[in-house]
Amino acid sequence: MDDYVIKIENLVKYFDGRCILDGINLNVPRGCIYGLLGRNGIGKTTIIRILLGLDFPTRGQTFLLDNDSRNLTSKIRGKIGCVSEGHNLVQNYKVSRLIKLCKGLSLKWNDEFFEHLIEAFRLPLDRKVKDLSMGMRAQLNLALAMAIEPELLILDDPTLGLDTVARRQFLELAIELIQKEERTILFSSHILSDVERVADRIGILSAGKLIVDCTQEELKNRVKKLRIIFTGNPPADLYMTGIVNQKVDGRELVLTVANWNSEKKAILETFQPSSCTEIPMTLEDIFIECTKPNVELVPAGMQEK
Amino acid sequence: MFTLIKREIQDSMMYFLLIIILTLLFIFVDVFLAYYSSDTGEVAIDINNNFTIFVISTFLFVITAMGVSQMHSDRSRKISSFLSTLMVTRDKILIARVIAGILAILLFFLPQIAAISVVYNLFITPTFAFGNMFIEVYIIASLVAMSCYCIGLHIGWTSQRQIPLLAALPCAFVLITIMCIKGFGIQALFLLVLFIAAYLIRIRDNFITSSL
Repeated sequence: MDDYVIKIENLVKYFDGRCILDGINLNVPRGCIYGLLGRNGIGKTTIIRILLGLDFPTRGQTFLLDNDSRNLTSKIRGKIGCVSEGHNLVQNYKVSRLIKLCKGLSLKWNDEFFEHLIEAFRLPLDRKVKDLSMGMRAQLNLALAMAIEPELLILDDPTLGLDTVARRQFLELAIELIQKEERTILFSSHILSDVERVADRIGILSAGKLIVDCTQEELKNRVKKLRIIFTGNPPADLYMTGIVNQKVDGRELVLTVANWNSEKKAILETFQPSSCTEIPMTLEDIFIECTKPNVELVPAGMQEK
Repeated sequence: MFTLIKREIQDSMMYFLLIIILTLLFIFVDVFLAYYSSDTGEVAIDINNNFTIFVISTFLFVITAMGVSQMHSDRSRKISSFLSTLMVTRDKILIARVIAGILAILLFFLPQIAAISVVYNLFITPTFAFGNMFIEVYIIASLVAMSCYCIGLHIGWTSQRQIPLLAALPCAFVLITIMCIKGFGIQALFLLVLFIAAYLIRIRDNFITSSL
């Protein structure tokens, strides 16, 4: 039996006749921190909402902990912690009342850990949720999601609104949580340095498709940015599969290639460049290269087989 | 489930307080008039009937408003969206909400039935107080209240759209017509139960299939 905590099969979602998600397939193994990346409005939150059963797919199926997202039982829901984008907590409740409600509606509740988080975040219990700052709401939401000791933690842009210290605190907590037991985290964020710090696997959404789904290490090995200098002008007939981006500046050609391998290296060498150096790429650089608007350049074969 | 019901009651506390006030008012006036009617007869009974109609109409308005408020505030504050990320299913949220509505209806009618039974036993002949009509009237009145509550729930959930909102008006009209034609008999009871069942199925369908 496969041990995937999250399974997405051929997920298609249309909004007002516009295709947002176009046949997404994704599996997240147990014990993994999965970073889901994509530009604004690309469908990351939609995927998370469909996974949680808050929205419905046009086609396809999603599974959480081996249960169809459309029919998640209370018990299964009790094993899933969630920090949603915008932190949709009940705004007119006092913090203490919200905590009591969440505690009453949880399968497990780690009082000690929760108290520790509340103290670390310095959250005022006597204030209404709507009177909290965005950062405080994020911290409260995170503390509530962590206190239930979830088997699966779904974080939709959780660090949005947090300051640098709180963000670092959060990331350390996420790592602590994952290290405790075989827990899984699905982590969607715009702050790529955060994702880079914690994620084992990376998925990049672009134009409704999941164009990248592999480990972070593999991604960094596969996508290469090369500075190639030729004796004359760069050749116009340099063709190879997986060119993500290319920029010519005089004799210099800066080439970003997906699925870099020895065959592609051999093709490049036939053009006899005078030098070829690799430019180190961060996750952010790879993300920017992969999500550039000219979608025809996005490598189709970058998804792990 | 208890936590969810408690949450619904706490969130609708204003309506529960209004219902308690109406109930106490009704009981107080009823006791007073029942005592008074033992001397003056028909005049007091007329006043009592008019007052009863006024209180019940007000209650029906309050219970409808409670239904609207529960659903509308859920939608606007994304309460179900948040609750669904906890150990709760949408069915449970809806059941807890309907139970809170039923409790509100019982809170209005049960003390009245108890008070009227006692008062009429003391001041008026027991045959009138415990007649079948008395029981039938209260059952039908409770069902009418439940129907109004269901209409409220439906309006509250679909109030962003105009057509369902307008569709609730003919439903209320049909409800009143049933009462006028059928009176408080078994046929009216049957029709009201059908009406409530149909409305609850419709509300569940809307609630379960909507994006939260």
